[in-house]
Amino acid sequence: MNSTLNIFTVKTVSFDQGERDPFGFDDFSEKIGAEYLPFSGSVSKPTYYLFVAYVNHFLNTNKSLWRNDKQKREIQIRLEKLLVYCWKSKFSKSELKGGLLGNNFEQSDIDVFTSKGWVIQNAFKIYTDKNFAPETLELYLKRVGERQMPILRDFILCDYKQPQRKAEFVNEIKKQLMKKNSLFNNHRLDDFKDKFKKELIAKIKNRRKDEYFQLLQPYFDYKTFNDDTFWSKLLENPNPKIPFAFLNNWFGKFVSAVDADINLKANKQTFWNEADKSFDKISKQFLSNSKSDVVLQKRMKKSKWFQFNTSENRYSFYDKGNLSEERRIKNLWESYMKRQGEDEGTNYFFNFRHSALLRLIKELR
Amino acid sequence: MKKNSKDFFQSIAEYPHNIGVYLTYTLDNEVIEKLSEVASGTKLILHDFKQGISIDDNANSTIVCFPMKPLKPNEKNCFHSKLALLKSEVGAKFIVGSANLSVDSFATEKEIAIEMELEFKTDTDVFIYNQILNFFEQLKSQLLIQNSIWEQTINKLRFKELPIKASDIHFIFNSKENSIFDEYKNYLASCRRGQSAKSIKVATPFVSDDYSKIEEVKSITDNISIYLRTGAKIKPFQNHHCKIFQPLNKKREGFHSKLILTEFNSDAVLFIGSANFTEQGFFKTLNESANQECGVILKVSLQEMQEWFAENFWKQLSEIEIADYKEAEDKSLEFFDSQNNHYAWAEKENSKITTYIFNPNNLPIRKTKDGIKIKLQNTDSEFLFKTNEFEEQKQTVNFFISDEKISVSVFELSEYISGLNEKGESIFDSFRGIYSVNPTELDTAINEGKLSIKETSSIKITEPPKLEQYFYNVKYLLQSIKHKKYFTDFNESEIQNEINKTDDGRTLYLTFQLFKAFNTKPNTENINQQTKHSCNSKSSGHSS
Repeated sequence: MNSTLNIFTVKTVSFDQGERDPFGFDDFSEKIGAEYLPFSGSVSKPTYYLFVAYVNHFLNTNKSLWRNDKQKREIQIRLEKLLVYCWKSKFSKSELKGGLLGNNFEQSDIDVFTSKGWVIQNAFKIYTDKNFAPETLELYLKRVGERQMPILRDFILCDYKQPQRKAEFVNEIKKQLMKKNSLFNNHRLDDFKDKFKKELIAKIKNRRKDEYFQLLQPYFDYKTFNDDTFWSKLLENPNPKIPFAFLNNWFGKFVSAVDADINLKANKQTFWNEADKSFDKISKQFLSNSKSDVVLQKRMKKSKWFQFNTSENRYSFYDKGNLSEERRIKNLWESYMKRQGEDEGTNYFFNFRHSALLRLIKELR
Repeated sequence: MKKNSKDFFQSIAEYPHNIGVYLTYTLDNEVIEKLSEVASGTKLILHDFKQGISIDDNANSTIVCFPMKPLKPNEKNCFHSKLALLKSEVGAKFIVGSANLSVDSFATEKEIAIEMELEFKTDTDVFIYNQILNFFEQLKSQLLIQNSIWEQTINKLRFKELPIKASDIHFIFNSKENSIFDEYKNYLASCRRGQSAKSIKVATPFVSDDYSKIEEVKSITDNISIYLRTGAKIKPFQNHHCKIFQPLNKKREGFHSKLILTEFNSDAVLFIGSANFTEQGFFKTLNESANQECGVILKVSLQEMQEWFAENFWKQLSEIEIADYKEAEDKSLEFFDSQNNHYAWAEKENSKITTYIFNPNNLPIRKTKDGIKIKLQNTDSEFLFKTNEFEEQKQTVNFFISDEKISVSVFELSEYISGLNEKGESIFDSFRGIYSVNPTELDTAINEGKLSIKETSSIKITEPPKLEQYFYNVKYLLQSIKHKKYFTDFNESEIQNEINKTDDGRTLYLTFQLFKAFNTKPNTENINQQTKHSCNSKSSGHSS
């Protein structure tokens, strides 16, 4: 059979939780999270911020290497591949702790001589210039970055064709790049961490000057860090000026009440009373946010799975006259219900961006 | 088949491309989102008009969806093709099979697909590619709302007419006169003349109530095995003495793959695609109100599909089992789950937004939840309405259908087209700024100082003479053209544009060089004529 032709069974793919969210809560929470915890939503490794800024600097000072955006992207992706290639040669999977963008491959499968075969969701797509251009870059250039530029230039210009020569060349490049303080040497920020952290905090502070920031700031100072208080003070804080706990509480109660409706529970009214009480406690300013199309209401209607029957005053599954579809939706609903109390032993429904924030802080400690 | 399982999205991600065309019966926002993450090019999605969704994010105008109808729509048929065609600058890749762009396809159903990379180094590649483009031409009349974008996309994709050299891999589709079955028979007649088949294996998740042409299948061989879902109707096959198989375990339970495998002594012919073995899918022509289907027929080894049809996954129903057989009442076994959900999309052209609403239940449409009903204009199509009253500055249009808030992302058609034109395909793509073969552009670039090359330690400024730079640029352009074998209509028109842009002597030089380059290239007569004509007129102008 022709080598470029392949018959395959299609692998199962998991989709975002959004699929299991019939009311739009995920979307709402994601957007409100972005307002309170900028950066943390997309952060996999803070090192990428600096790397993106460094590569952009490299491209700007080596314009002869590229003629158009396409060639520029090619260089960006090749350098990102080289970065991950170097990291993977030094650290095990568990040491890297995931969070690597743009790849699903073993180190030996990464072909750094081409931009092909790299998942498009890469550092340059996520960490654009407008996201963050750290002053730390200057320090990095001074310490090691400037010296690395000719090496990277050689790497981009390399035109060896023979696999053996290529392998030798990459090894040599790797040896030269993986020196102390180099981004290629460590997936963490090493000596640049403190300065970088300061800049990041300033950026976040600039976004939110309210008391929420006062709560958040100490966690960046890892000396006082405590996992338990991180969750309780930020995500579960009962201060009505902070939305997370109140939204979570209502999401959970509302979903339980809908479930009571669907299963025609005798005490369903109690569930609704609880849910309505929780709803009333949410400060009005948090019921809609300008960045979300979802506006929270006592009786959420947005749903592919349910209908709200006004005459019976209750939710029920849509009868689409299709048994397997009904089974599927019931299964999805069950897994949706499980979101309460199943996430890392806590009872919140949605963690906004706090998990990502925690990871960011831990990477910066 | 070898044990081979693959992530559909990974298959798309690993092939960098400029244009992606996706055909599907159903679609979901989640899948489109995932596609946006992995697919590098513009995305044009054609879907069945009853199965649409309101797209809430069109990823910076890189996505456009068009609802499609079968040629002769009725309550039982649909646009059912499933195909992804990815076009890069140097080649193309297509994936054809049973998977729709829906969550179900990738999360729960068991799908099969075939992927093929076309490098255009052989006529076989071009033959298959052109068959796909012929299919696209046919689809023009099936757009629910006619517009020029589909045609522009095809022009961007199509190579100049080439002599057709058939190969043993065919991309097929049903047409006004031919059904998928006709195409299958034609393939066997042309590639397997005189050979007698040993058996036919048919895997189909859905079946028809009865079959008028099943006896014709027996003209290929009467040893027919039908592989069905558990609980599917078996009656239609009983009278025709077919062997019936059903899943033995989870591996094949609820399968969605559609396969027809004709086995010969030493190898086999396989159809893999969107068509179920039903009247609507397999046996009817478009004139007979069939679904619109497509697929691939190819020669495979006897081992290739052995694993899929392996005995440990299937059991043959015995006579007693057939006598006691009970059909399941589960409606998922019936193909037509008619969709009555409303959806909308909005198109912006010349700063005017037109919102189209598929509203099969005729629900009230309002701008605000309790506001006044919006009066909608009828379109040619039943259940489809349009309005310009939702015109908004933002990139989304919001309104209410009954109590449900609808938010749709606007398809910026002009941006999509410019994205389509910007992305690849142009032979001048790598020749911009100081590398341009357009004298005006090159002069501007030089004047703007783009020839300055700043190096790390000190600044060096190099400024070669304009002419020298121009000759180099032309030289490199010709080198890149030299390696290219096939050219599109788009290439033809851009060459024409380029050589007519200026009367500068340098353009005459470029035209002459292009003429020389294309003079020896096959299948580029038009470009050759253009450059020749232009050389003559320009040189006479210059001498005068």
